[in-house]
Amino acid sequence: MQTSNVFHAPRFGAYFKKHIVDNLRLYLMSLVVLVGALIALGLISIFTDNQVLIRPSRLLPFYAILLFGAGLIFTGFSFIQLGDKPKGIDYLLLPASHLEKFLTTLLITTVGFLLVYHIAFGAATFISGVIVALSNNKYSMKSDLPDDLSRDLQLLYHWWFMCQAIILLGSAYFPKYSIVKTLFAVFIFILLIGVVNATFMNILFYGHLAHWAASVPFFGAPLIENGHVEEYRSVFLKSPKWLLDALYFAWRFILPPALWVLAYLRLKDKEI
Amino acid sequence: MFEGLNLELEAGHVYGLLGKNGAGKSSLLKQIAGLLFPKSGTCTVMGYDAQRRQPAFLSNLFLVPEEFYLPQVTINRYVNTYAPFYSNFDESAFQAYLNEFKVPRDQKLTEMSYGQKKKVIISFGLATNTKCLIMDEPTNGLDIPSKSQFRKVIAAAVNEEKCIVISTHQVRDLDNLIDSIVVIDNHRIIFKQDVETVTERLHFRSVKQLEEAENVLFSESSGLGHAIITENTGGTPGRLDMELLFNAVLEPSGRINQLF
Repeated sequence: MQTSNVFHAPRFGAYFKKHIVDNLRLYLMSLVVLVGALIALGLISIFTDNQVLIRPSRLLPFYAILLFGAGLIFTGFSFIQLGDKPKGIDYLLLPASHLEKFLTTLLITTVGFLLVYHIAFGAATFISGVIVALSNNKYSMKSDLPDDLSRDLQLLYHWWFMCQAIILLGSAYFPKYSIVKTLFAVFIFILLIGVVNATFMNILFYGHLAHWAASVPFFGAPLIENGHVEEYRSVFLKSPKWLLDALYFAWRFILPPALWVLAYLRLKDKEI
Repeated sequence: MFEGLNLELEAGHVYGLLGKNGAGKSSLLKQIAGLLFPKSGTCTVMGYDAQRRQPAFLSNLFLVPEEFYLPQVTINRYVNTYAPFYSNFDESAFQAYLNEFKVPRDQKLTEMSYGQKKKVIISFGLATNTKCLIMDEPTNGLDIPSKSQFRKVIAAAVNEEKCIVISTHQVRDLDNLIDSIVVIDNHRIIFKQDVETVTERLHFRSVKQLEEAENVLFSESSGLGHAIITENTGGTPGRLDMELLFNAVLEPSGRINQLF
């Protein structure tokens, strides 16, 4: 029977297994480093605090920083093999489809990373808790997690997936030094949007802008009415709510998958 | 890249792809493997568009690159993870090739020398039984006994369904191994003939004095005399001096090419 050239579950399984076997040592070492870093940060945070009351909310910034730091560095190495000719040939010529190879990378850098990160964070918190418990009851713990934590976490994860998708796309385009190059490309992209936006705003509201560069792309622009008289009126002309809602929806749910698709297409077109 | 390239390679042959450094041999092999894309035209291999790199195509093609990668695992683990992608992989043949090359199966790839690793990847490539086997400078890094082992294993692996393309600039390594010759120069194919036709039309021999021979098409001098090429008027195939032929084909006069 002819198997699909796009997706074939047993072949995908074999490729996934191969990927794990090839990278197992690296992943285990990364896990140990991650747990160690989390424990060290947690303990430094607890023991450098003069107060005897330990507040779990103090861990949240570390949780977020390492989630972004470790996750994005990990994603940045997604297609590093394409920057090395022998490894790139091995990767591209292995008889699995581009989709299977890409899905493996996507799953490892999203589901795989988040799973391992939370296991590492849980393990680090537990170990830190044990160490604190052994410190002769010098410290006591009081739960002070904010009530709207789930909303904050939701926002955090929307940003994380957005950044992950950007770095993954960057890794497909710049296999070597992908994070630095991607950040530079993002900076240039934002600068271009700012310049284009400022140009259009100045054309549309010439003489009425509070400052030629004061408009915020996609959100609105501060305008001044009767600016030539002493008692002028300043207003912030906002984009309509429906547009902001649509943009926010696209930012959260459409842009990350769109960037993944672009990364996949780049992989298909890759030459060595 | 190539301009106006028109080349057909058939199953059942061992092609020797010859050319100087930088002539375009590796680029051509990468085009065949789908690692480089033609700017215009198509590269079709076994009915597949090479640049799409579809699994059905890749599982019937194996490339041994000049600079290759092997993961830091044991041979057994390498086979366990890579072999499932090649439906015709022959485990016993792989072991036989390793035995021929005298590579111990239980050794870790990280502990091997470059030459040993090359023997492993050549053995694996042959054992995949792909219809198209491409090797880029396979004898680089092999010692003299290994080169002879290499010829032996290739000869054993040849069959009517398989097309083997071996690229090298060390032409003597392919003596008595290939049955067709393709010469590339300046990103153009300047010569493509089967060995039998070449030996039917050309006569390769050595003489002490150039005056001893008539109608010399090409000659090379050494301390021991002169290696020459003349027309084979008898038509009986003789021996082939690949290096002499290669140098003669690259000669600007193009006298050899005019005979084909």
